[in-house]
Amino acid sequence: MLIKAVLVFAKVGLLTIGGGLAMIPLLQDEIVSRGWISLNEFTHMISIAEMTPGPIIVNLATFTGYKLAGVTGAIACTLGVMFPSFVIVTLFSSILIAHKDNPHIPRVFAVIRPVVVGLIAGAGIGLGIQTLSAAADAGGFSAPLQILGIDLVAAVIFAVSALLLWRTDGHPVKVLIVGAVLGIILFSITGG
Amino acid sequence: MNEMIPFLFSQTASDPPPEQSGQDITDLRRIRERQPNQQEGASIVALLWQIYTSFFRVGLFTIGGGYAMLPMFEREIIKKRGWIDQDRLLDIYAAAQSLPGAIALNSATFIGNIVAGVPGAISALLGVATPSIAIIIVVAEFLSRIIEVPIAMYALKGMSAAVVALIADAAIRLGMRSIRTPITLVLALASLVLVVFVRISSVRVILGAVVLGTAYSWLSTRFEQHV
Repeated sequence: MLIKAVLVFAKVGLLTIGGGLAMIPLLQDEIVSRGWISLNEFTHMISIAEMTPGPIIVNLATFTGYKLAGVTGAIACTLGVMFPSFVIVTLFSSILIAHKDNPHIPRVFAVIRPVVVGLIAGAGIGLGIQTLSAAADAGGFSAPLQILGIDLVAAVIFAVSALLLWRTDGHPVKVLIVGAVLGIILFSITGG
Repeated sequence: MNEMIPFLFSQTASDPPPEQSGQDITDLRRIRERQPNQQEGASIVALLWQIYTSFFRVGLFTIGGGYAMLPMFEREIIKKRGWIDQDRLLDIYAAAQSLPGAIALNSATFIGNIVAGVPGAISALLGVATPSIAIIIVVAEFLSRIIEVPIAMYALKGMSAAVVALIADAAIRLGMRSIRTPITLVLALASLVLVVFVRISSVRVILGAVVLGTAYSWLSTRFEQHV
């Protein structure tokens, strides 16, 4: 059973391309339909994965493995989900390292780099729209204070974080903690 | 040589600025040489431990997906350790996103391999994954109750807003470095529009950039040969 689970997670790890959210249907199909965890647990787990560190596939592999066979299962399934991409990335990066003198590589990356900056900015905009919009999220949480569809509390926290980063060269961890504390205080006061 | 390249891409394409020359994505040897040679065995273990702990910190504070870890990478891997530079981080992100697996795991594996080969890749991967494994094992027992605690929800909401600022900050900083010519600006804007408004997957956008970059590199080689 555990070996089967490890293999299933290895398959999921291999088929996950382009970020965690893309493979949620695949994971649900593989894990829930086998009865390893319930649909309810699966849905909760996705919310949990958003608020705990780490990639969603690692979180789900650890959780499912734990349910199946305790800590051993958690570690086995997590190693299973990480193994295929580890092999592929190690091979790919070793090939790049071996061909470091190829004159084409820096030119190709010179084109890719600004494109990746665009993707990062795009990810920021996407997350910004989702976070600052006052509409209720998947967890049924809707903003207590809003103007023109903007969640005012989230907007204030965003502004404070931006100011911290801009004026004080704030460490990302400090910014995250300030965000969490402000979130607890402001949402409690406004009654989220 | 390469008259056209500076015109298109400024210095990033043809000749890297001198201060980065020791940090090429592929320049494994030089990075290794920087490590002390005496007590070889001990220093390798020390380096692997350093990789593990650095990536552990990155993993511990990566909340909200692969892009949210960029600022931690800049702090722990670039600023504190100097293992790679910001251009290389963008290169690695492109590869990490296009290959199978989570961005966080792939970029950790990639950087670990650059710093100390396969053992380095294993240290980095285990380091970045350990915090989430530990936290999930602890949380697994009382999973369903935790998300109903309002304080956890408020903290999460607050952190998400902070993460937006962190990602925007990283995009601006990395952009000021790699966007230096009109063409690179057009490339960045085009990818932003494609991924946000046209909703093309970022993997496809990167693959498109690989095709463009290859064509550009091939053409500039031809240009050089014929003129």
